[in-house]
Amino acid sequence: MASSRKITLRSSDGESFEVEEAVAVESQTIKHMIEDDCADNAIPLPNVTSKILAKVIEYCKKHVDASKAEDRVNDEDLKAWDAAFIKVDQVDQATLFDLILAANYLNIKSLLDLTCQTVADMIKGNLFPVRNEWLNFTFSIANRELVLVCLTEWVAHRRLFCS
Amino acid sequence: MMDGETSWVSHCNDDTARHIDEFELFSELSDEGNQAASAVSLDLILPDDLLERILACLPVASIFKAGSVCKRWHELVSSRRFLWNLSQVPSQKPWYFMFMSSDEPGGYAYDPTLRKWYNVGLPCIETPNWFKASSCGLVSFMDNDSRSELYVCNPISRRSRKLAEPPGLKFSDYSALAMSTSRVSNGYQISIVKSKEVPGKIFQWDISIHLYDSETRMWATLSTEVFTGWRAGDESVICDGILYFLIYSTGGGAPENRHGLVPYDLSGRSSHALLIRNSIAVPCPLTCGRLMNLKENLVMVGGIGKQDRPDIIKGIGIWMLRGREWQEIARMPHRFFQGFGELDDVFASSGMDDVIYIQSYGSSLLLLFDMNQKQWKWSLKCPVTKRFPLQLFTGFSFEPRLEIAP
Repeated sequence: MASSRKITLRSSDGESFEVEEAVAVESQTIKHMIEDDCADNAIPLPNVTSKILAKVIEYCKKHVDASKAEDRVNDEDLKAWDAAFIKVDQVDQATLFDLILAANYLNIKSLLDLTCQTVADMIKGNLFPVRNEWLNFTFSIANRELVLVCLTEWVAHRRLFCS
Repeated sequence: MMDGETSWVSHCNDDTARHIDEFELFSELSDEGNQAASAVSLDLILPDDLLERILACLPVASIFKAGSVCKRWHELVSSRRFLWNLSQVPSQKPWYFMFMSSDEPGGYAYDPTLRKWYNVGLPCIETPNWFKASSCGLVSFMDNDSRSELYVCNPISRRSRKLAEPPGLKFSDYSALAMSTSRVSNGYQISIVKSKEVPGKIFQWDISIHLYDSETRMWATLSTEVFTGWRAGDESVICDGILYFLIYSTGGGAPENRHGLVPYDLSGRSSHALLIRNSIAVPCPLTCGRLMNLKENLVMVGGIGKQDRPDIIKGIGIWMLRGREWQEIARMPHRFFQGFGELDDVFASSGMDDVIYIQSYGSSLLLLFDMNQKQWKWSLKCPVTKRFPLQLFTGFSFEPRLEIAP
């Protein structure tokens, strides 16, 4: 690419981020805005805070760099980087949900897939059997009363179930 | 709506094993008390379409559980849009259903993703000796008496359809059932290879191939041929539009020549040459040969017979057909092989996508082979227990799909 044009993105809290166009267009939403010639000045992103935007830019930059010829990163290394990026210790849950919303708004499919799969894995590990009247299965699970309540109820009535 | 039973039985204090399970689960969660509390906010923050997207990433059994968390989640996972999204998800690892006895069709299904056994009630099938074939979440069952009752069902949603009676000889000696479902159109084809000894002529067998198409809802007889010295059995599979079936020597040939494989192009593009001329030899003396479709590749699992005593096996092998040549993929390591004994007909195998299940007839032990990682491992212990010494265990594998209907 000859000259890398810089695009300015402005977060909801007024912070400006200057990024290369190649990185910015990882977002289909931003890509369309540029094509529609709305990008003369900074592109406002009223739905994304600076904290989240910084993370999104970090992700997009890595993925753009990974596909460049000189810096070619293989698939496994990139997956490992993604896993480290999204690891819940570093990315607290509120940030994770904000990332999902941002990836959806900005239309970055790979980031959306990554974040959704991460939450699905968390849910998978947190679904558990408790007592409840309301049930709708098409098959029963051997040896367990397989009933689930909304997690709020479990947390609220924890003592009852632990006896 | 409920078809199977809901087991509400409270196992209470006399079931210590379960008690321990529950305890571990609770103590695990108390450590993550904060996580449980903040996990709720997920439900409040995300709009329906994103929540659906997340739930679609779950393994099938977890989707069921998710549907029971609360009304909103239940509505999400039952919606048409959600089910349509599921059909776009690549296939999940196949489950293995193991029958509890040889008379009743009840049994348990093993989920290798969550490593759990589920008590599944199969629709349509009446006894475990019915013929079974499976493809892309649909399973077809055919009765083993008159071979005239044929059903296609989704074992998870329990939706089923009875098909028109297959043509051809009603009381053939052998039948092989196979199925192929299109992931794109959800249409399916079912093939039956029938073998009947020609009365009065030893070594001569009438072999006929019949195909059902769900688009036309009709049967067609594609081929009839007389084999001399060979017959088909009950082993067949469809891969990439080609029907493969195993043939067995009836004329007492040399030991390494007792089995063969016949390919048949279902689109009818192959030449009109005799099927038997087109047969492919198997790689070694074989016992318990089973055919399966692993990502549209033909894979065969079988016992490797000894040269001098071909009914005694020295190992269990897995081969893939490349063109007309067999490539050995793996051999069961000795430490697992000892669980299967050394006699003929001691095991059955079934598989699809990337997983092969091998089950010992004499016990409920179930071994898995992962084609991707070339790894062998035992499944979690099955809840089915052996009730008498000569009890035989059988089963079959199928892909768990919520959304597909016959």
